[in-house]
Amino acid sequence: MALKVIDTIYIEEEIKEHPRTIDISSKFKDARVLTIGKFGELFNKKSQSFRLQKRNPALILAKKAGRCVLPAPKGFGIGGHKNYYFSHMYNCLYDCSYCFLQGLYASADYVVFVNYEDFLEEIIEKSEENPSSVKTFFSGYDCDSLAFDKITGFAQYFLPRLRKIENCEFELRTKSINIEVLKSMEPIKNCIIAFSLSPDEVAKTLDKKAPNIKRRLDAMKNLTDQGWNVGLRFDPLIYSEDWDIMYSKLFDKCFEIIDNNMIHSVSFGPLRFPKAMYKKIKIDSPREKLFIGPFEMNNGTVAYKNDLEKQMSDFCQDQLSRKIGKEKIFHCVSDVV
Amino acid sequence: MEYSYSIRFVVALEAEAEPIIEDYGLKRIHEINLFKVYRNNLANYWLIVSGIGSINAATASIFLYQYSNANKSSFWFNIGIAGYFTGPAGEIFLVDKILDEVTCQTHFPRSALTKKIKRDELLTVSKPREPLSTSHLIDMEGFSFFDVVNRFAVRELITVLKVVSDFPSYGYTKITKNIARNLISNILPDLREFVAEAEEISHKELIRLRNPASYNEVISKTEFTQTQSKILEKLVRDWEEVFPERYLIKEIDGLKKSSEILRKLSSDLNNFRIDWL
Repeated sequence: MALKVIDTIYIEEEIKEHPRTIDISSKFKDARVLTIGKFGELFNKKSQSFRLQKRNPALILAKKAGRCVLPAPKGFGIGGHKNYYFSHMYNCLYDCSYCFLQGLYASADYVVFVNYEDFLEEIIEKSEENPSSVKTFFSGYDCDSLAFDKITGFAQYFLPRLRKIENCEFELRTKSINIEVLKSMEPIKNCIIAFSLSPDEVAKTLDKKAPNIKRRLDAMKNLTDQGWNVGLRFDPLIYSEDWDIMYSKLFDKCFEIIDNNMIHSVSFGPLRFPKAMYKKIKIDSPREKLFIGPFEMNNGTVAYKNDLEKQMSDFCQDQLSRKIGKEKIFHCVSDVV
Repeated sequence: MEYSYSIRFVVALEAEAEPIIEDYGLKRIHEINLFKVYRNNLANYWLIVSGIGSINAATASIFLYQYSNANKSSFWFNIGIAGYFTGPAGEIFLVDKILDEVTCQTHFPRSALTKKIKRDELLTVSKPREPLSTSHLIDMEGFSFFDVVNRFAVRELITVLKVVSDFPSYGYTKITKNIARNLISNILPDLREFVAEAEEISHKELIRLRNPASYNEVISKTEFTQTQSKILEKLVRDWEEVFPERYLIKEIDGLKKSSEILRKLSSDLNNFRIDWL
């Protein structure tokens, strides 16, 4: 996807002179730059519209204060003993209808935290706690890991450094086909480039602004040919007429194109929203058919009806087990906040 | 009666307002004495002359909001002349940062309008003064206008436009009514473009926020409790979305009780299977 030109950049006073701030802002020569105190002065404040901002998002460069690496939600994992996530960025270039970010934030602006060194330091700290336990660090929870990479230089900075932390695995979750940076380096054994996938018909309607499924699969093939480990992520599972046929076709296509040996893991998970988040999304996008359901609310979470959710999960587990070893399949059921 | 978009102007001086009033065919509402308030025949454009200063701007904005029945889809403009650190007079700016000299608070307006013009910061002061030597626009209303309007409108639907009137070698004391009027007249072509996009955005917001088409008819059929009304609104919206070819009023014709109507809608929606093709 061609990156729409950013016409406004807000920069926190404190990191105005940070080399990464200078580098990133230099990529938008015509943008107007405004200095701010803390990014919270404008990001996620009340009385703004995520949907209207999405027409023309601004870029906010900030410093991540407090903890940079957090424990992943319960139920989220691909085999490690401990799971963490970190977000060098909030929000995404794409506009997927099911994305929880639209319910989480009132702002659609892209926030990039430029203090990568602090993230890395915390990752190293965590990796050194109980070194024998396998830990997985997930990137791509609050953003797409690669979609904005030409601007942020995230992969270029992190990947060579993560290579050295051998007792840990790192997942970069993406829908992007922006893989040049990965192709320019030697594959990193403890990094998994995990692609989110949905049936073609679903992605065409719901994955707005994201590359289509064929292009994502081509990018995966390209990476595996070069020696990168990839992950297949069928999360969230979207219900529809003939959902089983559509997912079956998608699984066939994936395993036909991608070499099984290069697949690190396959995961799938249900579509779930906390009640308040669902309510906000429904107000913002009242005519989105996806949110018609059939949903029910359980313990403050809006999700497909229990029996349907189970039916879809069982189906995926069964179908995927026929394609790849069970030890590589993970059913991720996590609350989104 | 509902119109497809809703535009509100808050302007400090009558001389600044006159070109806009004329251009949009607005007429004064004579029964209002507190402020001079104008609107067009369709009542989708409204303008208020607030008078100078923060208190006037805030009071007038609230008054206009209430009196004109502005809603969440209304698009708000504050238009006026301002001092600047340099000339020439007549240059128009979109304000994207406002500082209030008195409270030292800051706002970051985030207009959804995409037309490209110069942007700069605005300093709202409490007394007239000569422009600063730094790159700031100066006025006496912008901050309080934004501060108040942002309580009933999202910031993407608020736009502050300022036209340079005075600068260090041409002080504010030289600005006559005629000059103010001409400065605003000269930016009307730009303003029309802004307003045209604002109309489109306001229209889309109105469509997004409005009750589904058959809601009023359904709710008038029988008595619904407050909670049921809320549920009904959601169900009717979803129902109309997924069954655009069906006529809801006809389908609920034989149903007398509110619970029966809700049950029918829920059941239809539960049986609906989305086809993404």
